Amino acid sequence: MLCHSCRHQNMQGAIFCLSCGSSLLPQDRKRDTTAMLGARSAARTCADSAPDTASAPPLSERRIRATVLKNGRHISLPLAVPVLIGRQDSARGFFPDLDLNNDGGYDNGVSRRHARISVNGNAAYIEDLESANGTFINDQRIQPHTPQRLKASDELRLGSLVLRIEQI
Amino acid sequence: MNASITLTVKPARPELQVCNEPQLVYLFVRAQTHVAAQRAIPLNVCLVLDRSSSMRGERLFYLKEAARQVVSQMDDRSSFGLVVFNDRAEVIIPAQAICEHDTMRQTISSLEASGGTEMAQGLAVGLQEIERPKISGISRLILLTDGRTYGDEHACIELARRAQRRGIGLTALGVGTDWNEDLLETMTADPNSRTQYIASPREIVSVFEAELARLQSTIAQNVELTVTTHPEAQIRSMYRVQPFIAPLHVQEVGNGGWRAPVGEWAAGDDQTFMLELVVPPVTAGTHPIARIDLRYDLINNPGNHSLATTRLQLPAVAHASSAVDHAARRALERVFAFRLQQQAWQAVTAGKLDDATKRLQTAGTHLFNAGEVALAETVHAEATRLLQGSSTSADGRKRIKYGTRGLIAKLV
Repeated sequence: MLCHSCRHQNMQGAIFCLSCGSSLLPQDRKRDTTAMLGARSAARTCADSAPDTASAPPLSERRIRATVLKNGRHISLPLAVPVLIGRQDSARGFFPDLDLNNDGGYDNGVSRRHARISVNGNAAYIEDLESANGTFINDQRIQPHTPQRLKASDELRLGSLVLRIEQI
Repeated sequence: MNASITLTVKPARPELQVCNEPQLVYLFVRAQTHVAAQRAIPLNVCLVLDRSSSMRGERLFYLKEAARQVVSQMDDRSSFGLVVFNDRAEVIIPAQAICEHDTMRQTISSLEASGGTEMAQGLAVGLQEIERPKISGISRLILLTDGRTYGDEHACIELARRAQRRGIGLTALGVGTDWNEDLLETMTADPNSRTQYIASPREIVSVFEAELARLQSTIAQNVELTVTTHPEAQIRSMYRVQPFIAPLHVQEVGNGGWRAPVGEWAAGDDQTFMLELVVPPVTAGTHPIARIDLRYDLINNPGNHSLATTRLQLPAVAHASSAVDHAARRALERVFAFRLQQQAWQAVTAGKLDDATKRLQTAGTHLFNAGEVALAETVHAEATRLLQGSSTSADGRKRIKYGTRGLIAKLV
C-alpha cells in the first residue's frame, strides 16, 4: 500500500502510514492533509487565486494549475515565462518561481533548482535541471535537460514530492 | 474483597486479506474490572515536594492545601511522610502511621519556599523515608516540581529505578511550564509510575485527590498481559489507549509468546490496549490470530494468581473490506497523533523543522478526526510557529505531549 503523501510502501492492512502518519483509507485521500490549508495558503506570496479565463487563449497566456498532494496546496502560475521550480535559498541566491520549501521540499529531496516548465508552441514541457533526486512524470524518470511534454492529470514527482497537474 | 477482571478482544477490521505477504492487524483488548465491595486499601505515601523560590505564592498555597487533603484522605492503617527540597532536602514529617491529623496539617501549613531546585536530594531522602514503615499495600512516592534540576538528572533516574525495583511506584507531577518533561517521563517509564502535567496551580488539589483515590482503590498488582500468536507473527507495538495513552514494553518469550507488564490496577479503571500485529501470509479460511491472557494478583490475596483469557480468530477473504471499526479508528487516530508529536519533537531537536511541522500538522488532523478539537488547535498553533520560523512554546509543547496521552488535568 503506497502512501500518497510520502510514497512510503506500507504493509497490507496498514490504516495510517507508518512513516508519515497520513491516512491510507481510500475515503480519506482527499481530506487527510487539508487542516492547514487555510493558514498556509494565506501565507503564500505566489498568485494562487486568479481565475481562469473562460475562453481558450494561447497557452502562453494561460496558467498551470497543480496540487501538492501531501498538503492539498493549490498552485496556479502563469505560463507566460518559464516557471522555475525548486527551493528558495536567499543566502545562496536561489529564488524559484515555485518555492516548495514549505511543502516539505527539503525532506522530500527537492533541489534548489530542480526543474523548469516552459511553453513551446501549444504544449507545455518540463525539463529536469540536473536535480539530485530526479524528476518523474507518472513514475517515469526524465533525463536532465530533455524537456518532456506535461499534460493535465499527469502526476509530477520532484524527488519524492508529488504534484498533480490539474490544468494547463 | 471480591474482584475480577474480564477480557474482550476486537479487531479494527473484521477480515484478513488473502495475500502472500505479511499483513498488519490492529487488535483492541478491553479489560473490565468487576468489584463487589471496595474499601480503601492502606497506603504508604511519601510526598516529595519542590519548595524552591519559584513555588512562592499561588503554587505553594495550593500545594499545601493538597498535602493537607492527602493527610485527611488517609486513615490510621496508612503511613504518610513529607520531604521537601530546594538546594537541599529536609524531612518535614518523618514517615509514620497516620495518627495526629491536625498536627500533621499544621506542620504542612508552616512550609515556606526559597532557594533552587535539586531534585535528586529530595528523591534520595524520600526513598529513605518511604522504606521505613512496614506496611503491606501500595507504596508510592508523589513528586511535584515546577522547575529544572541541573546536573543531577542521572541521579534522579537512578533513584526512580531503584524505587521501582523495590516495588515503590512514582507519580511525578509537573506544574507550570519550566520543568523538564523529558526527565520526568524517563523517571516514570515503568508500568507502576506515571507523570502528569498540571497547567494551573488551582488544579494541584484535585490532581492529588484523584491520585490518592486511585491508589486507594487498587485491586490488583503485578498485572501482566501475555499474547500468544502464530510463531511467525510479530507484535510491532503495544499501547495502553484507555484511560490514557502509554506505550508498553513488550518482550518476546519465544514460540509465539509475548509479555507486557502493565502495573497496578484500580477498581473501575477499565483499560483498553492496542496491539499492532504483523501476521504471516494467509490463505482463504479462518485463522487463529491471538490468545490473550491477563495475569494478576488480587491485592488482598497476593499468593493466589488470577487469570482472564480471550481468543480471536479471523476469516481471510480475497477482497477484504477496507472499512475500519469506528471506535478502533478513533483510538488509532489518538495513538498516531501521540506518535507523530513524539517524532516532531525529535525532529525539532535534530533541526529538521520542515519534518517537525509536517508531523505536527498530521497529528493535528488526527486529533480533529478523534474529536480533540481544542488540542488539535494547540497542535496547529505550534506547527504554524515552526512554519514561521519561531520556536515552539514551552506551554504548547507540554499541552501537546500530555494532551495527546490524555494526561492533562481537567480544570475544576
